[in-house]
Amino acid sequence: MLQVENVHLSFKKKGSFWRAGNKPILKGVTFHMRQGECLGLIGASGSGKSTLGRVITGTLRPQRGLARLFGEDIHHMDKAGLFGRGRARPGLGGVVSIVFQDYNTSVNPRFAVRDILAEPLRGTKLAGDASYLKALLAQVRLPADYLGRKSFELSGGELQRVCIARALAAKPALVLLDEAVSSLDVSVQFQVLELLKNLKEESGLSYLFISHDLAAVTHLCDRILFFNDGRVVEQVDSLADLVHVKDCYSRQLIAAVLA
Amino acid sequence: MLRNLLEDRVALLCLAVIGVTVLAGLFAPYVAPHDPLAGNILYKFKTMSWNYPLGTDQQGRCVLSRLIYGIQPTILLSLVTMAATITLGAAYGLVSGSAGGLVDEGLMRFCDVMLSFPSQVMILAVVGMLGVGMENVIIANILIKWAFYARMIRGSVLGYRNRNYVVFSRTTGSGSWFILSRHMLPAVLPEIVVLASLDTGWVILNISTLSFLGLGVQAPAPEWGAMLNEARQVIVAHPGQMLAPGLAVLTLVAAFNMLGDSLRDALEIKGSGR
Repeated sequence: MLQVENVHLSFKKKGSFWRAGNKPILKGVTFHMRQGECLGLIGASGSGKSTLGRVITGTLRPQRGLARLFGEDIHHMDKAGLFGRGRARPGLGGVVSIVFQDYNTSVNPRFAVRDILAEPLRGTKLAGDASYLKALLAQVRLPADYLGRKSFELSGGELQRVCIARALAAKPALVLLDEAVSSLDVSVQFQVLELLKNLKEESGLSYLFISHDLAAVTHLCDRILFFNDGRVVEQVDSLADLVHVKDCYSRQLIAAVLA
Repeated sequence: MLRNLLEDRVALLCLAVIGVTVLAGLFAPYVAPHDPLAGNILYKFKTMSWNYPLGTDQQGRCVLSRLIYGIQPTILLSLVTMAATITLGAAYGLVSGSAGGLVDEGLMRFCDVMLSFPSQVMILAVVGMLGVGMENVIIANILIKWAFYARMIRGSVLGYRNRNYVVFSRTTGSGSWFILSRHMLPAVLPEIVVLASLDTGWVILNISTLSFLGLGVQAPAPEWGAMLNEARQVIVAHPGQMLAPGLAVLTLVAAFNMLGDSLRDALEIKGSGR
Protein backbone atom coordinates (compact mmCIF):
# COMPACT_ATOMS: atom_id res chain seq x y z
CA MET A 1 0.00 0.00 0.00
CA LEU A 2 2.68 2.51 1.05
CA GLN A 3 6.13 2.55 -0.51
CA VAL A 4 8.77 4.95 0.73
CA GLU A 5 11.75 4.85 -1.60
CA ASN A 6 15.15 6.41 -0.94
CA VAL A 7 13.71 9.57 0.62
CA HIS A 8 16.25 12.32 1.28
CA LEU A 9 15.32 15.60 2.93
CA SER A 10 17.44 18.45 4.26
CA PHE A 11 16.48 21.61 6.09
CA LYS A 12 18.17 24.93 5.49
CA LYS A 13 20.42 25.87 8.38
CA LYS A 14 19.72 29.23 9.97
CA GLY A 15 22.57 31.69 9.96
CA SER A 16 24.35 34.28 7.93
CA PHE A 17 24.82 33.91 4.17
CA TRP A 18 28.33 32.47 4.41
CA ARG A 19 27.43 30.04 7.19
CA ALA A 20 24.13 28.89 5.72
CA GLY A 21 23.95 25.32 4.51
CA ASN A 22 21.72 22.30 4.55
CA LYS A 23 21.21 19.97 7.48
CA PRO A 24 20.27 16.49 6.27
CA ILE A 25 17.33 15.06 8.24
CA LEU A 26 16.29 12.03 6.15
CA LYS A 27 19.15 10.14 4.51
CA GLY A 28 17.70 7.62 2.10
CA VAL A 29 14.71 6.15 3.94
CA THR A 30 13.23 3.08 2.27
CA PHE A 31 10.46 0.81 3.52
CA HIS A 32 7.03 -0.46 2.54
CA MET A 33 3.73 -1.14 4.28
CA ARG A 34 0.92 -3.56 3.53
CA GLN A 35 -2.77 -2.70 3.74
CA GLY A 36 -4.28 -3.46 7.16
CA GLU A 37 -0.86 -3.57 8.76
CA CYS A 38 0.30 -1.66 11.82
CA LEU A 39 3.90 -0.67 11.35
CA GLY A 40 5.88 0.79 14.26
CA LEU A 41 8.58 3.37 13.58
CA ILE A 42 10.70 3.71 16.66
CA GLY A 43 13.66 5.97 17.28
CA ALA A 44 15.13 8.61 19.53
CA SER A 45 13.82 12.18 19.66
CA GLY A 46 15.30 14.23 16.82
CA SER A 47 16.07 11.23 14.63
CA GLY A 48 13.70 12.45 11.88
CA LYS A 49 10.63 10.26 12.53
CA SER A 50 8.09 13.09 12.54
CA THR A 51 9.72 14.68 9.47
CA LEU A 52 9.25 11.36 7.68
CA GLY A 53 5.62 11.47 8.84
CA ARG A 54 5.22 14.92 7.26
CA VAL A 55 6.63 13.55 3.99
CA ILE A 56 4.10 10.71 4.07
CA THR A 57 1.20 13.11 4.74
CA GLY A 58 2.37 15.16 1.77
CA THR A 59 3.02 18.37 3.72
CA LEU A 60 6.79 18.17 3.14
CA ARG A 61 8.33 17.40 -0.23
CA PRO A 62 11.54 15.35 -0.22
CA GLN A 63 14.51 16.59 -2.26
CA ARG A 64 15.14 13.06 -3.53
CA GLY A 65 13.12 9.85 -3.53
CA LEU A 66 9.35 9.54 -3.24
CA ALA A 67 6.51 8.23 -1.15
CA ARG A 68 3.82 6.28 -3.00
CA LEU A 69 0.36 5.33 -1.81
CA PHE A 70 -1.31 2.64 -3.91
CA GLY A 71 1.37 3.30 -6.52
CA GLU A 72 0.65 7.03 -6.78
CA ASP A 73 3.13 9.70 -5.70
CA ILE A 74 1.66 11.28 -2.56
CA HIS A 75 2.87 14.76 -3.59
CA HIS A 76 0.99 14.65 -6.86
CA MET A 77 -2.31 13.45 -5.42
CA ASP A 78 -5.42 15.60 -5.62
CA LYS A 79 -5.95 15.67 -1.87
CA ALA A 80 -9.07 17.82 -1.96
CA GLY A 81 -10.59 15.34 -4.40
CA LEU A 82 -9.50 12.37 -2.33
CA PHE A 83 -11.13 13.88 0.72
CA GLY A 84 -14.35 14.04 -1.24
CA ARG A 85 -14.74 17.77 -1.88
CA GLY A 86 -17.78 18.15 -4.05
CA ARG A 87 -18.85 14.54 -3.59
CA ALA A 88 -21.69 13.13 -1.55
CA ARG A 89 -19.42 10.85 0.48
CA PRO A 90 -15.78 11.09 1.48
CA GLY A 91 -13.25 9.47 -0.79
CA LEU A 92 -12.12 6.00 0.10
CA GLY A 93 -8.54 4.90 -0.34
CA GLY A 94 -5.52 7.03 -1.05
CA VAL A 95 -6.07 9.23 1.96
CA VAL A 96 -3.54 9.70 4.74
CA SER A 97 -4.72 11.11 8.03
CA ILE A 98 -2.74 11.99 11.14
CA VAL A 99 -3.00 12.03 14.95
CA PHE A 100 -0.42 14.20 16.71
CA GLN A 101 1.30 13.92 20.06
CA ASP A 102 0.26 17.32 21.38
CA TYR A 103 -3.54 17.19 21.52
CA ASN A 104 -3.67 20.80 22.79
CA THR A 105 -2.35 22.25 19.53
CA SER A 106 -4.03 19.59 17.38
CA VAL A 107 -7.41 21.29 17.35
CA ASN A 108 -8.40 24.87 16.69
CA PRO A 109 -9.33 26.20 20.16
CA ARG A 110 -12.17 28.24 18.61
CA PHE A 111 -13.84 25.16 17.14
CA ALA A 112 -16.48 23.03 18.84
CA VAL A 113 -16.07 19.24 18.56
CA ARG A 114 -18.67 19.31 15.74
CA ASP A 115 -16.47 21.66 13.66
CA ILE A 116 -13.32 19.68 14.48
CA LEU A 117 -14.87 16.45 13.21
CA ALA A 118 -16.45 18.11 10.18
CA GLU A 119 -13.23 19.76 8.93
CA PRO A 120 -11.87 16.79 6.92
CA LEU A 121 -15.41 16.23 5.56
CA ARG A 122 -15.73 19.81 4.30
CA GLY A 123 -17.47 19.98 0.96
CA THR A 124 -19.36 16.73 1.51
CA LYS A 125 -22.89 16.22 2.77
CA LEU A 126 -21.47 14.29 5.73
CA ALA A 127 -19.98 17.50 7.19
CA GLY A 128 -23.44 18.61 8.26
CA ASP A 129 -24.75 15.15 9.09
CA ALA A 130 -25.05 15.09 12.90
CA SER A 131 -25.77 11.35 12.97
CA TYR A 132 -22.50 10.61 11.13
CA LEU A 133 -20.56 12.87 13.52
CA LYS A 134 -22.23 11.19 16.51
CA ALA A 135 -21.31 7.80 15.09
CA LEU A 136 -17.68 8.97 14.90
CA LEU A 137 -17.81 9.96 18.55
CA ALA A 138 -19.35 6.58 19.44
CA GLN A 139 -16.50 4.89 17.57
CA VAL A 140 -14.02 6.46 19.98
CA ARG A 141 -16.30 5.78 22.97
CA LEU A 142 -17.40 9.37 23.57
CA PRO A 143 -21.02 10.45 24.22
CA ALA A 144 -22.98 12.17 21.47
CA ASP A 145 -23.54 15.37 23.50
CA TYR A 146 -19.81 16.14 23.19
CA LEU A 147 -20.50 17.52 19.70
CA GLY A 148 -21.30 20.96 21.09
CA ARG A 149 -18.33 21.13 23.46
CA LYS A 150 -15.19 23.21 22.98
CA SER A 151 -11.72 21.67 23.27
CA PHE A 152 -10.99 23.33 26.63
CA GLU A 153 -13.99 21.53 28.12
CA LEU A 154 -12.42 18.13 27.43
CA SER A 155 -9.72 16.22 29.31
CA GLY A 156 -6.47 15.28 27.57
CA GLY A 157 -7.62 11.71 26.91
CA GLU A 158 -11.00 12.87 25.60
CA LEU A 159 -9.39 15.43 23.33
CA GLN A 160 -7.02 12.81 21.91
CA ARG A 161 -10.05 10.58 21.23
CA VAL A 162 -11.66 13.48 19.36
CA CYS A 163 -8.43 13.79 17.33
CA ILE A 164 -8.60 10.05 16.54
CA ALA A 165 -12.26 10.41 15.50
CA ARG A 166 -11.30 13.35 13.26
CA ALA A 167 -8.52 11.28 11.70
CA LEU A 168 -11.04 8.51 10.94
CA ALA A 169 -13.78 10.86 9.67
CA ALA A 170 -12.86 10.68 5.98
CA LYS A 171 -12.27 6.91 6.11
CA PRO A 172 -8.52 7.08 5.47
CA ALA A 173 -6.46 4.29 3.99
CA LEU A 174 -3.61 5.04 6.37
CA VAL A 175 -3.57 6.72 9.77
CA LEU A 176 -0.27 8.16 10.88
CA LEU A 177 0.00 8.13 14.68
CA ASP A 178 2.81 10.58 15.49
CA GLU A 179 3.64 9.88 19.16
CA ALA A 180 -0.14 9.78 19.60
CA VAL A 181 -0.07 8.44 23.17
CA SER A 182 3.21 9.90 24.47
CA SER A 183 1.72 12.94 26.19
CA LEU A 184 -1.07 11.00 27.94
CA ASP A 185 -0.75 9.54 31.43
CA VAL A 186 -0.14 5.78 31.67
CA SER A 187 -3.74 4.68 32.33
CA VAL A 188 -5.14 6.85 29.54
CA GLN A 189 -2.31 5.70 27.26
CA PHE A 190 -3.44 2.10 27.72
CA GLN A 191 -7.09 3.02 27.04
CA VAL A 192 -6.17 4.85 23.84
CA LEU A 193 -3.90 2.02 22.66
CA GLU A 194 -6.72 -0.48 23.27
CA LEU A 195 -9.11 1.81 21.39
CA LEU A 196 -6.72 2.03 18.43
CA LYS A 197 -6.31 -1.75 18.47
CA ASN A 198 -10.09 -2.30 18.47
CA LEU A 199 -10.63 0.26 15.69
CA LYS A 200 -8.02 -1.50 13.58
CA GLU A 201 -9.76 -4.83 14.05
CA GLU A 202 -13.23 -3.35 13.42
CA SER A 203 -12.36 -1.25 10.37
CA GLY A 204 -9.26 -2.91 8.94
CA LEU A 205 -7.28 0.34 9.25
CA SER A 206 -3.56 0.63 8.56
CA TYR A 207 -1.44 2.48 11.11
CA LEU A 208 2.04 3.92 10.88
CA PHE A 209 2.83 4.33 14.56
CA ILE A 210 5.72 6.72 15.17
CA SER A 211 7.02 6.56 18.71
CA HIS A 212 10.03 6.42 20.99
CA ASP A 213 8.12 4.14 23.40
CA LEU A 214 9.01 0.53 22.63
CA ALA A 215 6.36 -0.82 25.04
CA ALA A 216 3.57 1.07 23.25
CA VAL A 217 4.88 0.01 19.85
CA THR A 218 5.06 -3.69 20.77
CA HIS A 219 1.50 -3.45 22.19
CA LEU A 220 0.02 -2.22 18.93
CA CYS A 221 2.28 -3.07 16.00
CA ASP A 222 2.76 -6.12 13.79
CA ARG A 223 6.17 -5.04 12.53
CA ILE A 224 8.78 -2.57 13.78
CA LEU A 225 11.33 -0.36 12.05
CA PHE A 226 14.16 1.07 14.13
CA PHE A 227 15.05 4.57 13.01
CA ASN A 228 18.25 6.41 13.82
CA ASP A 229 19.94 9.51 12.37
CA GLY A 230 17.55 9.77 9.43
CA ARG A 231 17.79 6.12 8.37
CA VAL A 232 15.97 2.85 8.96
CA VAL A 233 18.66 0.85 10.77
CA GLU A 234 16.82 -2.36 11.60
CA GLN A 235 13.60 -4.09 10.67
CA VAL A 236 11.83 -6.56 12.96
CA ASP A 237 9.10 -8.61 11.27
CA SER A 238 7.73 -10.21 14.41
CA LEU A 239 7.95 -9.33 18.07
CA ALA A 240 9.76 -12.63 18.74
CA ASP A 241 12.64 -11.34 16.61
CA LEU A 242 13.29 -8.42 18.96
CA VAL A 243 15.92 -10.48 20.78
CA HIS A 244 17.84 -11.01 17.53
CA VAL A 245 18.38 -7.40 16.49
CA LYS A 246 21.91 -6.68 15.26
CA ASP A 247 22.07 -2.90 15.13
CA CYS A 248 23.85 -1.35 18.09
CA TYR A 249 21.35 1.53 18.62
CA SER A 250 18.35 -0.83 18.44
CA ARG A 251 19.95 -3.20 20.97
CA GLN A 252 20.59 -0.25 23.31
CA LEU A 253 16.96 0.84 23.00
CA ILE A 254 15.65 -2.64 23.79
CA ALA A 255 18.08 -3.02 26.71
CA ALA A 256 16.95 0.35 28.11
CA VAL A 257 13.28 -0.74 28.03
CA LEU A 258 14.04 -4.13 29.59
CA ALA A 259 16.17 -2.47 32.30
CA MET B 1 -10.91 37.60 27.01
CA LEU B 2 -14.08 39.69 27.32
CA ARG B 3 -14.64 38.49 30.90
CA ASN B 4 -11.06 39.39 31.88
CA LEU B 5 -11.51 42.78 30.26
CA LEU B 6 -14.77 43.49 32.07
CA GLU B 7 -13.13 42.64 35.41
CA ASP B 8 -10.47 45.31 34.77
CA ARG B 9 -11.63 48.66 36.23
CA VAL B 10 -9.13 50.68 34.19
CA ALA B 11 -10.44 49.05 31.00
CA LEU B 12 -14.03 49.83 31.99
CA LEU B 13 -13.11 53.46 32.71
CA CYS B 14 -11.34 53.74 29.34
CA LEU B 15 -14.30 52.15 27.54
CA ALA B 16 -16.62 54.60 29.29
CA VAL B 17 -14.47 57.60 28.27
CA ILE B 18 -14.27 56.40 24.66
CA GLY B 19 -17.98 55.49 24.59
CA VAL B 20 -19.13 58.86 25.97
CA THR B 21 -16.81 60.70 23.55
CA VAL B 22 -18.05 58.74 20.54
CA LEU B 23 -21.71 59.23 21.55
CA ALA B 24 -21.14 62.96 22.08
CA GLY B 25 -19.52 63.15 18.64
CA LEU B 26 -22.34 61.22 16.96
CA PHE B 27 -25.06 63.33 18.57
CA ALA B 28 -23.11 66.61 18.41
CA PRO B 29 -26.00 68.67 16.97
CA TYR B 30 -28.16 67.67 19.94
CA VAL B 31 -25.48 67.86 22.66
CA ALA B 32 -23.56 71.02 21.67
CA PRO B 33 -25.11 74.18 23.14
CA HIS B 34 -24.14 76.43 20.18
CA ASP B 35 -23.23 76.41 16.51
CA PRO B 36 -19.46 75.70 16.43
CA LEU B 37 -18.90 78.11 13.55
CA ALA B 38 -21.11 80.96 14.75
CA GLY B 39 -18.96 83.58 16.41
CA ASN B 40 -19.64 86.97 17.89
CA ILE B 41 -16.62 89.18 18.27
CA LEU B 42 -18.31 90.96 21.18
CA TYR B 43 -18.22 87.71 23.19
CA LYS B 44 -14.56 86.82 22.54
CA PHE B 45 -12.53 85.28 25.38
CA LYS B 46 -15.54 84.91 27.66
CA THR B 47 -14.83 82.91 30.80
CA MET B 48 -16.81 79.84 31.84
CA SER B 49 -20.51 80.48 32.34
CA TRP B 50 -23.82 78.59 32.14
CA ASN B 51 -24.24 79.82 28.58
CA TYR B 52 -20.63 79.01 27.57
CA PRO B 53 -19.49 76.14 29.88
CA LEU B 54 -15.87 76.27 28.57
CA GLY B 55 -15.88 79.91 27.59
CA THR B 56 -15.36 81.31 24.08
CA ASP B 57 -12.35 81.63 21.77
CA GLN B 58 -10.79 84.65 20.03
CA GLN B 59 -13.69 84.86 17.56
CA GLY B 60 -16.36 84.49 20.23
CA ARG B 61 -17.22 80.87 19.32
CA CYS B 62 -18.34 78.39 22.00
CA VAL B 63 -15.28 76.25 22.92
CA LEU B 64 -17.39 73.35 24.24
CA SER B 65 -19.45 73.23 21.03
CA ARG B 66 -16.30 73.27 18.91
CA LEU B 67 -14.82 70.55 21.10
CA ILE B 68 -17.93 68.37 20.68
CA TYR B 69 -18.13 68.93 16.92
CA GLY B 70 -14.38 68.30 16.76
CA ILE B 71 -14.88 64.72 17.97
CA GLN B 72 -16.25 63.61 14.61
CA PRO B 73 -13.24 64.48 12.44
CA THR B 74 -10.75 63.48 15.16
CA ILE B 75 -12.17 60.03 15.96
CA LEU B 76 -13.77 59.27 12.60
CA LEU B 77 -10.60 60.02 10.68
CA SER B 78 -8.53 58.04 13.19
CA LEU B 79 -10.81 55.03 12.88
CA VAL B 80 -10.85 55.23 9.08
CA THR B 81 -7.05 55.44 9.08
CA MET B 82 -6.72 52.51 11.48
CA ALA B 83 -9.25 50.36 9.59
CA ALA B 84 -7.48 50.93 6.27
CA THR B 85 -4.01 50.43 7.79
CA ILE B 86 -4.99 47.23 9.56
CA THR B 87 -6.78 45.79 6.53
CA LEU B 88 -3.80 46.44 4.29
CA GLY B 89 -1.20 45.34 6.87
CA ALA B 90 -3.14 42.25 7.95
CA ALA B 91 -3.74 41.06 4.38
CA TYR B 92 -0.06 41.59 3.50
CA GLY B 93 1.18 39.93 6.70
CA LEU B 94 -1.20 36.96 6.34
CA VAL B 95 -0.18 36.34 2.74
CA SER B 96 3.53 36.76 3.48
CA GLY B 97 3.53 34.54 6.58
CA SER B 98 1.43 31.82 4.98
CA ALA B 99 3.31 31.72 1.70
CA GLY B 100 6.81 31.49 3.21
CA GLY B 101 9.91 30.99 1.08
CA LEU B 102 10.86 33.50 -1.60
CA VAL B 103 7.44 35.22 -1.64
CA ASP B 104 7.80 35.93 2.09
CA GLU B 105 11.39 37.13 1.65
CA GLY B 106 10.42 39.49 -1.18
CA LEU B 107 7.38 40.91 0.60
CA MET B 108 9.32 41.43 3.82
CA ARG B 109 12.21 43.23 2.12
CA PHE B 110 9.67 45.67 0.64
CA CYS B 111 8.31 46.10 4.19
CA ASP B 112 11.83 46.82 5.43
CA VAL B 113 12.19 49.56 2.80
CA MET B 114 8.90 51.15 3.92
CA LEU B 115 9.90 50.93 7.59
CA SER B 116 13.28 52.53 6.93
CA PHE B 117 11.70 55.94 6.18
CA PRO B 118 11.43 58.31 9.19
CA SER B 119 7.67 58.47 9.80
CA GLN B 120 7.15 62.22 10.31
CA VAL B 121 9.39 63.12 7.37
CA MET B 122 7.49 60.63 5.22
CA ILE B 123 4.12 62.13 6.24
CA LEU B 124 5.29 65.64 5.46
CA ALA B 125 6.72 64.47 2.14
CA VAL B 126 3.49 62.70 1.13
CA VAL B 127 1.28 65.64 2.19
CA GLY B 128 3.72 67.97 0.44
CA MET B 129 3.40 65.98 -2.79
CA LEU B 130 -0.35 65.29 -2.66
CA GLY B 131 -1.38 68.62 -1.15
CA VAL B 132 -2.94 69.79 2.10
CA GLY B 133 -6.16 68.08 3.19
CA MET B 134 -7.53 65.34 5.38
CA GLU B 135 -7.69 62.69 2.62
CA ASN B 136 -3.99 63.12 1.99
CA VAL B 137 -3.21 63.03 5.72
CA ILE B 138 -5.06 59.70 5.91
CA ILE B 139 -3.16 58.34 2.89
CA ALA B 140 0.15 59.47 4.42
CA ASN B 141 -0.67 57.81 7.76
CA ILE B 142 -1.64 54.57 6.04
CA LEU B 143 1.55 54.61 3.97
CA ILE B 144 3.82 54.90 6.98
CA LYS B 145 1.97 52.49 9.27
CA TRP B 146 0.84 49.52 7.16
CA ALA B 147 4.31 47.96 6.98
CA PHE B 148 4.55 47.85 10.77
CA TYR B 149 1.26 45.92 10.91
CA ALA B 150 2.31 43.62 8.10
CA ARG B 151 5.49 42.72 10.02
CA MET B 152 3.70 42.14 13.32
CA ILE B 153 0.94 40.02 11.78
CA ARG B 154 3.38 38.05 9.65
CA GLY B 155 5.30 37.24 12.87
CA SER B 156 2.11 35.94 14.50
CA VAL B 157 1.19 33.91 11.41
CA LEU B 158 4.62 32.24 11.48
CA GLY B 159 3.85 31.16 15.04
CA TYR B 160 0.58 29.54 13.95
CA ARG B 161 1.67 28.17 10.57
CA ASN B 162 3.12 24.98 12.04
CA ARG B 163 0.47 24.42 14.69
CA ASN B 164 -0.78 20.86 14.46
CA TYR B 165 -4.32 21.88 13.51
CA VAL B 166 -3.00 23.87 10.56
CA VAL B 167 -0.77 20.96 9.50
CA PHE B 168 -3.80 18.64 9.78
CA SER B 169 -5.83 21.00 7.65
CA ARG B 170 -3.11 21.00 4.97
CA THR B 171 -2.86 17.19 5.22
CA THR B 172 -6.56 16.89 4.41
CA GLY B 173 -6.18 19.09 1.35
CA SER B 174 -7.69 22.34 2.69
CA GLY B 175 -6.95 25.31 0.48
CA SER B 176 -5.01 28.42 1.45
CA TRP B 177 -8.17 30.54 1.70
CA PHE B 178 -9.82 28.13 4.17
CA ILE B 179 -6.65 27.95 6.31
CA LEU B 180 -6.25 31.73 6.27
CA SER B 181 -9.87 32.57 7.00
CA ARG B 182 -10.76 29.81 9.49
CA HIS B 183 -7.47 29.14 11.29
CA MET B 184 -5.01 32.00 10.85
CA LEU B 185 -7.18 35.12 10.90
CA PRO B 186 -9.22 34.18 14.02
CA ALA B 187 -5.93 33.28 15.76
CA VAL B 188 -4.26 36.63 15.06
CA LEU B 189 -7.42 38.75 15.40
CA PRO B 190 -7.06 39.42 19.17
CA GLU B 191 -3.49 40.60 18.58
CA ILE B 192 -4.70 42.88 15.76
CA VAL B 193 -7.35 44.36 18.08
CA VAL B 194 -4.76 45.05 20.79
CA LEU B 195 -2.35 46.66 18.32
CA ALA B 196 -5.17 48.72 16.83
CA SER B 197 -6.35 50.08 20.17
CA LEU B 198 -2.77 50.93 21.14
CA ASP B 199 -2.18 52.73 17.86
CA THR B 200 -5.50 54.58 17.66
CA GLY B 201 -4.12 56.96 20.28
CA TRP B 202 -1.05 57.49 18.13
CA VAL B 203 -3.19 58.23 15.05
CA ILE B 204 -5.39 60.72 16.96
CA LEU B 205 -2.26 62.48 18.10
CA ASN B 206 -0.80 62.42 14.60
CA ILE B 207 -3.94 63.81 12.95
CA SER B 208 -4.15 66.52 15.60
CA THR B 209 -0.47 67.32 15.06
CA LEU B 210 -0.96 67.69 11.31
CA SER B 211 -4.05 69.85 11.81
CA PHE B 212 -2.02 71.89 14.31
CA LEU B 213 0.60 72.39 11.59
CA GLY B 214 -2.14 73.44 9.19
CA LEU B 215 -1.83 70.36 6.99
CA GLY B 216 -4.99 68.50 8.05
CA VAL B 217 -8.43 69.93 8.86
CA GLN B 218 -8.54 73.55 7.77
CA ALA B 219 -9.95 76.46 9.75
CA PRO B 220 -12.67 77.33 10.61
CA ALA B 221 -13.78 73.64 10.77
CA PRO B 222 -13.65 72.41 14.39
CA GLU B 223 -10.93 69.83 15.02
CA TRP B 224 -8.89 69.44 18.19
CA GLY B 225 -5.48 69.93 16.55
CA ALA B 226 -6.76 72.89 14.54
CA MET B 227 -8.25 74.37 17.75
CA LEU B 228 -4.82 74.07 19.38
CA ASN B 229 -3.29 75.83 16.39
CA GLU B 230 -5.77 78.70 16.72
CA ALA B 231 -5.18 78.88 20.49
CA ARG B 232 -1.41 79.00 19.86
CA GLN B 233 -1.79 82.44 18.30
CA VAL B 234 -3.04 83.84 21.63
CA ILE B 235 -0.98 81.64 23.93
CA VAL B 236 0.70 84.58 25.74
CA ALA B 237 -2.44 86.61 26.41
CA HIS B 238 -4.87 83.69 26.91
CA PRO B 239 -2.98 80.45 27.68
CA GLY B 240 -6.23 78.86 28.97
CA GLN B 241 -7.42 78.55 25.35
CA MET B 242 -4.99 75.64 24.89
CA LEU B 243 -6.41 73.80 27.88
CA ALA B 244 -9.72 72.39 26.58
CA PRO B 245 -8.50 70.88 23.25
CA GLY B 246 -5.18 69.85 24.83
CA LEU B 247 -6.86 67.99 27.68
CA ALA B 248 -9.36 66.42 25.27
CA VAL B 249 -6.53 64.99 23.12
CA LEU B 250 -4.63 63.86 26.22
CA THR B 251 -7.66 62.11 27.77
CA LEU B 252 -8.73 60.31 24.60
CA VAL B 253 -5.20 59.22 23.65
CA ALA B 254 -4.58 57.99 27.22
CA ALA B 255 -7.92 56.11 27.18
CA PHE B 256 -7.03 54.31 23.93
CA ASN B 257 -3.50 53.51 25.13
CA MET B 258 -4.64 52.17 28.51
CA LEU B 259 -7.43 50.17 26.85
CA GLY B 260 -4.77 48.64 24.58
CA ASP B 261 -2.71 47.67 27.65
CA SER B 262 -5.75 46.09 29.30
CA LEU B 263 -6.63 44.21 26.11
CA ARG B 264 -3.08 42.89 25.94
CA ASP B 265 -3.25 41.73 29.58
CA ALA B 266 -6.62 40.06 28.99
CA LEU B 267 -5.18 38.28 25.96
CA GLU B 268 -2.09 37.07 27.83
CA ILE B 269 -4.20 35.51 30.59
CA LYS B 270 -6.17 33.57 28.00
CA GLY B 271 -3.03 32.52 26.13
CA SER B 272 -1.46 30.96 29.22
CA GLY B 273 -4.22 28.39 29.61
CA ARG B 274 -5.41 25.80 27.14
